[in-house]
Amino acid sequence: MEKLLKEAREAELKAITRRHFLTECVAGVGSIALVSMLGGCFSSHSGVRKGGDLLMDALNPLAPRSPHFAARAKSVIYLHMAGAPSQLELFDYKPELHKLHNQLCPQSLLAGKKFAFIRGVPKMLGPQAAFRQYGESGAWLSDHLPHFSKVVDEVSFLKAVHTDQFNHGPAQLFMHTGHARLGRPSIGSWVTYGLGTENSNLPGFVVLTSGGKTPDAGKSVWGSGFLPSVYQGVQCRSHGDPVLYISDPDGMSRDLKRKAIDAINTVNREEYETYKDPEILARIAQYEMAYNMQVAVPEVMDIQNEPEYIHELYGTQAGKESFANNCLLARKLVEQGVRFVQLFDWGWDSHGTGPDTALDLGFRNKCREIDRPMTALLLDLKQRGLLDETLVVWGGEFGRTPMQENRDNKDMPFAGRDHHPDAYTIWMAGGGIRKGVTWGETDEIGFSAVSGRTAVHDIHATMLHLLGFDHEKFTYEFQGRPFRLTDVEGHLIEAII
Amino acid sequence: MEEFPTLFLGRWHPLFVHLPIGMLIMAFFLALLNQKKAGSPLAPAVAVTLLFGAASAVLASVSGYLLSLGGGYDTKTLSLHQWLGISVAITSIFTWLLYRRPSDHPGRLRPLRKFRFLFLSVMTALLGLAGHFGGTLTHGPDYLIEALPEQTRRLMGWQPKQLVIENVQEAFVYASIIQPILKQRCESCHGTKKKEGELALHTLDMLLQGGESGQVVVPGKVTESELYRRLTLPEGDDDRMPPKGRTPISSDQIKLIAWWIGVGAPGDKQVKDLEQPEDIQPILLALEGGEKEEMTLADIPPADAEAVQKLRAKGLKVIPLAETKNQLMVSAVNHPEFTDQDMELLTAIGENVIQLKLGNTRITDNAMQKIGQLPELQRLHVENTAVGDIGLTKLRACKRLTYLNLVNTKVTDQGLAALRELPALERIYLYRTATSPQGLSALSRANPKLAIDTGNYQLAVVPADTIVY
Repeated sequence: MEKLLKEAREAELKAITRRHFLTECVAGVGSIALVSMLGGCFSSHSGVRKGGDLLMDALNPLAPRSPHFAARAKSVIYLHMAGAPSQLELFDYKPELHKLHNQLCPQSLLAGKKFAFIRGVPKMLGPQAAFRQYGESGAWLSDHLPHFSKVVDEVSFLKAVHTDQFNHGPAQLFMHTGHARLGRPSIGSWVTYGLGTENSNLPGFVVLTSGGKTPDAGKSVWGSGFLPSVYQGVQCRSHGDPVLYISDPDGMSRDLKRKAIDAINTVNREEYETYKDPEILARIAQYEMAYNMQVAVPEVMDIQNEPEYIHELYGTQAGKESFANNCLLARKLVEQGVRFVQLFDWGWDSHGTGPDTALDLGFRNKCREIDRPMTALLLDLKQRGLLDETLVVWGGEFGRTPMQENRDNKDMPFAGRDHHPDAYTIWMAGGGIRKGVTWGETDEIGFSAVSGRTAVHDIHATMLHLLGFDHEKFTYEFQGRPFRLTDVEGHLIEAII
Repeated sequence: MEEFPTLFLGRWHPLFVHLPIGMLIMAFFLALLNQKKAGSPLAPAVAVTLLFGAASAVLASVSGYLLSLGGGYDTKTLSLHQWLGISVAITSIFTWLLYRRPSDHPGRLRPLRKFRFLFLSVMTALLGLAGHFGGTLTHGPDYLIEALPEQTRRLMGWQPKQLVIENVQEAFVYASIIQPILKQRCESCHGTKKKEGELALHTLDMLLQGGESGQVVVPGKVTESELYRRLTLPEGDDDRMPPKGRTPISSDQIKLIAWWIGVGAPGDKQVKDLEQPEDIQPILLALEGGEKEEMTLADIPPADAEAVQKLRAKGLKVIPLAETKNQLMVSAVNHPEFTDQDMELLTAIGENVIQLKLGNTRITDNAMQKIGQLPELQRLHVENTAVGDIGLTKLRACKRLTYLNLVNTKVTDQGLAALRELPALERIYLYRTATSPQGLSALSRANPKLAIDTGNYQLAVVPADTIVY
């Protein structure tokens, strides 16, 4: 090893001619001046995290790398329900709220609070679902999720999560980048930056959206922010080309493509021999990855070859763009070594303005759409021995109020709830998460947390911990200071790990 | 007690005490250099350094004595430290006399001049001992070894830093949970060595007896307990314990102490005997976990770089489990052509392979022969391969194997019998294999803590699947 490195270093030194040295110097001095003029927008980092001594291939930004300490989770599947599902109709059972149904909300709850749509004094809205306890853990669950009741013992519930944003866009950004404004890397980008990709034919970070609909916050929720763009999420689609422009244009055969890439790479390698610029190696690796992806991605994204009993389990139909299909794809991707699979579902914004957003109508349709697939996902991961090392996270960007929404201070035609950032439920399973734990408790109407209050940064810290990272040491130098996913906050949620 | 001049001057001891240490050691090294090369320009410096050193040693002795009057120290260690300190002061004066210029010498000492370096060496040794016992007095006897890495500590038979309890419900609350916290964080000042404020916490009786300010634990009454009050005072408060500069007790540990006091500070109750409020449950559970065994990686020598290089050239992924460790995960995710012959390469790095992913490859039972020679292996994936019963019999030497993925292999009940001998095995996956319930129950009788997953999960069709609202 030592010998190899020495040889490489010597070769490198020989290759640097005086002329090249001078050009480098001039360019170097020039770029130093430029960097200071631009206020340090470009950091001197090559964008590659240092790994263990044994890690070769450090020049490839997507090469697999090691975390700080041995990880319990190798992959993450994050199921985001965009629009924010109501915790009061799914997990957080509040019998007291039944008794208060249709009574005017007491002033004490409204004082000092700001709501997205509620104006004046709203009425309380009782739970629009029946609840029961399930499993050995006795977790409370509504009858909207009959399948999920079978797996509650695999899951840990965080019942008192809070955020500081009550609009979808910023709240989604906060949930995925740790910051409510644009510009920060998403958690999937951080993970790919930290771990690279295990399968060199597939991206490390894949995004799947139900029906191809982008969440309110836009693609920034899987963007790479200030990290090198190679770490951003790759959005895959379940019909048509899985990745846009992945198939060759008409008249371009795969052989011709290979020849073209070989020719380009030969020139690039010669260039590298002359100048020893690592960026050239990165470019070569990218061409190879793109070429390999052309075969690997369509293969892994094709669910037609899955046996019938798997389709029955998930409720999948090949060719559709559904949450169910995406759940099955998520399992296939994780099986192939993809680090982070991000699913976005939409239509959870149950304000009660129409039948689609009514808690007793449209909301129940949404529940039906996710109940079987997400339960199937946990079971399928489990039977394949993957749940052990795959962390599954489910949640929205905030919760919903115990009050009936009264947009513009008028009665609404349907049962609906307003945005509520103070207390909502998120569940996690697998990848080192304890089984059957319920952590955190809200008051008797589910308005605020009374114990086990959990911040978004706490969830991020815990996720990174399970992946083998100390969230306080996992940083990236940008604009003159190190940045963290958890900023200056975040505590491990010890109760569930 | 007339505290002002004595105790005030005594408190200067920690400051003064470092002066003789520095200066006398300096004198020793100067003399050592001089010893090697007689008549060097350094020679006159020895006497001067010794003079200042001796003077400061006297000062340190006096202030130390005044400090000791304040009390609260372990008398045995204290008297050792005291007399060693005084001996240092005396020998240093004596050595100074021997190192002065010959012309200033009283005649009587002249014959001893030959041995002056010996005296100086003895003085330095005394200095070292005095310093050590001084450190023991202030920081406690375990101060140094406490900071050693966990492995070394275990090797030497010292108790682990972190409290880990096998089964928390069976544990005795005081002996297994509360006492270790007090021992770790309080006993250096309130224990056998030192009894500050007349308080000692090393036994339950002493703890309940209290100290200078009376009872510190009022069983059943948390808020009236001085111990709890002191632990929860705001940071910066003079009465807060442990005092400024010492490692604070974590908020979880304080909650545990409060819980124990609240239920009457029993000495002989097990966790399961007591009511466990919701906020205590996760803390108790966390005691069980500690850091999981497979997660703390030992320092082992690196794998043979050439073999790693060869594996990588084949298209295998060889990834260290953590960035500063040499334990490896080897994955064939990009090399489905992996065959039995390729196993040769792996045996070359056998000691380093902890996790092995050979799912979806072309391996057969012959490969298992070689896999059985990986003594450190903890996780093995051979799903979707031709591995069968004969292969499983080869795994006997994998004493650390905890995870075994046999999904969609040719394994039957016969092969499962071989797995009964794997002591560490915790999880096994047998989805889509020809194993039978009888074979499985035989296996789980032999290894009751083993989690067996045969999969084949189905979700029955329910009305809610089709109702559209």
